Parts: sequence; C-alpha cells; structure tokens
Amino acid sequence: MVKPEKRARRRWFGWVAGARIACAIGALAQLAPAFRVHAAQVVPAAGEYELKAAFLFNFIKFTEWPADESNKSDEPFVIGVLGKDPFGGALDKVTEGETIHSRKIVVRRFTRIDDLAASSPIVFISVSEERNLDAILKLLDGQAVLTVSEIASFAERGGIVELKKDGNRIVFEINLSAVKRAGLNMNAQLLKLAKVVRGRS
Amino acid sequence: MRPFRDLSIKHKLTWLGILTSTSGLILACTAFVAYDVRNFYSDIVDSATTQAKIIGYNSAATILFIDPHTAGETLGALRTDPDVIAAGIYTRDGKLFASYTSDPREPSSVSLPRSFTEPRDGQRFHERYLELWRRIGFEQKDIGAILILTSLQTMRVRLFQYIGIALLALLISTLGSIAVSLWFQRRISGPILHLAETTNRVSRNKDFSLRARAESGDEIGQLVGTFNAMLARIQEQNQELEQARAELEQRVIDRTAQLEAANKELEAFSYSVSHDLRAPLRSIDGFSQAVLEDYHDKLGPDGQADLQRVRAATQRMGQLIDDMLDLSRVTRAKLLREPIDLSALARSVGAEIQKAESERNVEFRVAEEMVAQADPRLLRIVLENLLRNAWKFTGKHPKAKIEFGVQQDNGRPVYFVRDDGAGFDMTYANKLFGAFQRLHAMTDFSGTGVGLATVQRIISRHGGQVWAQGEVEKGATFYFTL
Repeated sequence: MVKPEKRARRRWFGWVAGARIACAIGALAQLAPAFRVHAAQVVPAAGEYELKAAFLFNFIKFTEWPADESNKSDEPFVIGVLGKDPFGGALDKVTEGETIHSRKIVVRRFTRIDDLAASSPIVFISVSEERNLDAILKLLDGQAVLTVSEIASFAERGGIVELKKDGNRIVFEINLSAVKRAGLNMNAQLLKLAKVVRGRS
Repeated sequence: MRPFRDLSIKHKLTWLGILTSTSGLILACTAFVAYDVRNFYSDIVDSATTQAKIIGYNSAATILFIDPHTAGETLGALRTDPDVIAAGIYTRDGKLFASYTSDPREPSSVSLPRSFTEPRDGQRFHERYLELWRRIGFEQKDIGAILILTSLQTMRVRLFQYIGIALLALLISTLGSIAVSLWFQRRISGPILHLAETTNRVSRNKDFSLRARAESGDEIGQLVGTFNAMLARIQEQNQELEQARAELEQRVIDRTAQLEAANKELEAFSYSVSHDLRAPLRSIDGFSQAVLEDYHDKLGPDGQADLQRVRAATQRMGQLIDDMLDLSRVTRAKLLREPIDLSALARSVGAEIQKAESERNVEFRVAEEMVAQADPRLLRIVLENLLRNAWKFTGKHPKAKIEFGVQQDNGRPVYFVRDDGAGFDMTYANKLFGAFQRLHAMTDFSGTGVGLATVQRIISRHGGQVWAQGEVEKGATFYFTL
C-alpha cells in the first residue's frame, strides 16, 4: 500500500513536468489532484525591451562581484551596452535614480570592443555584435564582468546570461562555468529561475 | 434547603473545603484555558507569519523575473501544512501572481481574492480560518504580497480537547477535594461532636464524673481540657456541698437529741418539784383546819380570819401546782388520734359549766356535726379551757353569748370559740399563751395563767395552730386548727 505522502510526492513530480509544458505554451497551470497551484498568466503590460531592461537591472541585484569590484564604492556602477542599443531609452528609465550598494548607476554605450573599459562590471552585448562575439568573449575572459546578450546560443558559446523569448514570456539561460570563470557569485534564487546550460570552457 | 448557619459543623466544614478548592480550581482552569486560547491564536499567527515570510523571501526573484510557475512551486511547499487552505502571491499592483489550494475537490466557501491591495502587513480572524498577509520586499523595495488562509479547525479540535481535559481535571480534583475535606472534617468536627455529646450527657444525667476525650493539641483540645477541668471543679464542689450537708444534718440530730434530753430533764424536774411541793402544802392546809376546829374558841375572830387566809393561800397554791402538773402531763402524754364528735364534746363540757352556775343568763351555741381526728382526752382539756375562759370573762356581763363553731380557710377547718365578754387588748396578744401570763387582775378574774399555755401545747402536739382576736369589752375569739 502506498502511503498518502508518497503518492502526493509522485503526483507533485508529475505535475512539475506538466506545468513546464503548460508554461511553455503559455497556458494556465494544470490542476493537480491533491492540491492546485495556479500560476497566473502575467501578460507584460510593458514592451519587450522595457522588461529586458528591468531584467538586466535585476541581474545586478542577484549577483555578487569579487571584492575589488565591490570596493569601488565612490565610483558610479557602469552598465555597458556594446553595439546598437535595442532598449531605446528603457534602460536609462529603469536605472534612473537607482543605486547598487550606494553606487549611482550609469548606462554607457560603446560601439567598439576596444572602447569597452574594464570599469563596466556588466555588459549587454547587442545582437549587432554577433559577428565579433568570440573576440569579445575572449577579451572579457577571466574578468569579473557579467555578460548578458540576446544572441542565440550565447550561453553555450561562453557568455554568462542569455535572454530568450518563450511565447510572450522572457526567460533566460545561465552558463555556470562562465559564471565561475568570471569569479562571480550568483544567487540561488536566480539560478532556480534560469535554465542552466553547460557551454564551452 | 436549610440555611447554612443551621447546618452541623460537620457539613459546614465539608462544604467549606469543597467550595474553597472547587472555586480555586475553576479560577485556575479558567485562567489556564484563557491563557492557552490566547496562545493557540498567537501560535497560529506566528506559524502563518513564518510561512509567509519564508515563501515571500523565496518568491522575490520569481516576481522580479516574472516567473509565476516557479512562484507556484514555492507556494507548493505549503502542502506540508495540512491546515493551510489556500495561499497566493500578488504583484505590487495587486494582481494574483501565483496561488495554491490544498484540496480543490473539497468545495470551500473560502477562496483567494483575484486582487489584493492591502498596503501593510496584517491578519484577520474569520469564523473558520485565519487570513494573514505579508508584503514581499526586496532590497527595501515593495514588490508584492503573500496571502495565506489557514484553517482554524485543527486548532479548534485541540482547544476542545484541551477544555475537555481541563473539565476532567476539574472533576477529578473536585472529587479529590471532597475526599480530602471529608477526611479533614472528621479530624476537626469529630472531637467537637464528641464534646457536644458529652455535654449533652452531662446535662441530661447530671453525671459530673464523665470526661470528654482530648484528641488534639489545638483549640478544640484546649476546649476539651477546659471543659474537663470545669467538670472536675463542679464535682469537687458537689462533694464539698454533700459533706457540708451531711455535717449539718449530723449537727441537727445532735442538737435535737441534746434539746430533747434537756427538755425531759426539765419536765422531770418540774413534775417532781410540783409533786413534792403538794405534800407540805397539804400538811399546812390540814393542820390549819385542825387548829381552826380544835382551838376555835381560843383563837378569837382575828386569829380565825388569819388562819382562813392561810388556808385560802395554800389552796390557791395547790391549784397552781395541779395546773402545772396538768401542763407537764399534757406534754408527756402519748397522742392517740381517733374520730371525735366535737359538737357533742362541747355540749357536754358546756352543760357541766352551766350546772355549776345555773343562775347566770348565758346563751350557749354549738354548731352541729363537727367531727375531727384528734386525741379525745386532750381535746376535752382544750375545750374545757377555752369554754371556761369564755364563761369566766363574760361573768361581769348580765347577759352573755358563747359560740363554738367552725369555718373553712383554704379548704381546712378552723375551729373557734367566741364570746362577748371582757375581751383583751391586741397589743398583748402575744402574751396570751405564755404560762403564768395574765392580762387581767386577780381581783377581776380568778385563774392561774396556765390554761391557754396548756391549750397551745395540745394544739401544737396535734400539728395545728392557735391564735386569738379580741377587743377590750367587746369579746374575744380563739381560733385553732388540728
């Protein structure tokens, strides 16, 4: 005879798998026999890049940089955007007046890799830079820089966070070995939400 | 029901014990239950708060990265608490972001609101569930809220069990306290009841030799001790009284014997004196008469007159001695009571007196059918004395009336002899019955002054009383009882 508790757990696992699919197609969560979890279909009222700008800002909050980066408390915290800026001012709007550990947030845009100063702890690599991606990643390799991009297979190719669209939801993949190489520390809550991928080392 | 104050001490003590302990227990149980009810409510709030905080903290990232599916998984952790009916995570603008319901098959009136906009942490108790919400913050920013609905059924069941146990404890304690107070009551009221019973027996049987048992050293023991001491004192005093009474009795007997002896001696003395005085007196009288007869011529008229006076004086003295002998005889004679017809006796005495002086105009009146239990010989002496007195003291009146009758006083007969003669002054009434006491001059009325003393002796020997009433020249009345 199966204990009720055990039965519930089995159903729970079954439900997890089902829910994943349901989420993927943007449907409502399924009913589970023992209990029901309802994940509301949050239709983003904002535009896609407004959400992505918020995500970019939130990534900073769930990431810890090595000590030498955290020590620069008197300098502004620079968010670098490399290549053609897809946000159209949304990033400036999201970060306006915000601080990270009392550091003012400044958005800087770069067009060339060489301009990319080591002073940016986080860099968004625009789709326009897809051609130079390997060079860019090579340049930033070993530095405490959180790289974020929409470029397909960005995480697999050695980037850290890859933003993707899943229906009308925004999801992200994280390359843990890249996180490790950059000497960053990512919050478990964030990792729980991400699809963790193994990329090239 | 009888009022409390009339109950026996036994019952009072029992009730005292039971009421004291039961009211104490009720107060204590009420306080405990009240305290625990409060604790139950605060426990359930604490537990729901902890759940809300943990889940809120763990859902921060899901809200920020708009991942309701993972938020739902986080909420799913609540299934370990069967009391949670439902829970929901809301976004900052109040929209339901993710939810959890414990058993969707069970139709429940309780359901999560579609939108929730309480600005601050809080909770509300409903009849069957607790609604508790906490805001979810991230880096000092408010990013949403979590709402948990917890059933109060389990708590209620626990509470009722608790109250049941408290009532059971109360019942058992009350029974225990009844037993203890009964036991205690016996310790206290037992000696009191014993003391009360002993006092009752003492007062009923007047037995002061009884003693109460002292069983304890407390106030009751002291009371018993004092009571016993009191009994001992009473007993002692009773003995002293008894001894004093016995002594007194003995003394009375002794004195009476002494008095009787003295009296007898005195009587014997007076008898012998009277008797011995008569012989020389007779000689004086006899030889005086012989001288008068034999030497009649030689004496002359003066000598004869003198000798006549000698003879009269000796005769008077003889009369005195006779009366004294009568008096002592009356005292010594044995009393023989028998029924006597007083009326007949009085008439015969009256006739004797009238025969001696038949020329006097005296009306004798005697009541009919007077009968008494008395000594006839002595009663004759009484009537002779009283009637002769009446005859004598009416002697100076040309016409007289003497009456012997009876009247009733409080159911006993009082006999009287009344005359309308010389009477007497009431001032000297107390001297009437003394021997040789005379109220009238010898020249007015003859007599020795022994008659009324004799009457009094006889009446007092019969256990009766004698007294007199009179007024000068208006007559006298002598009363006697037997």
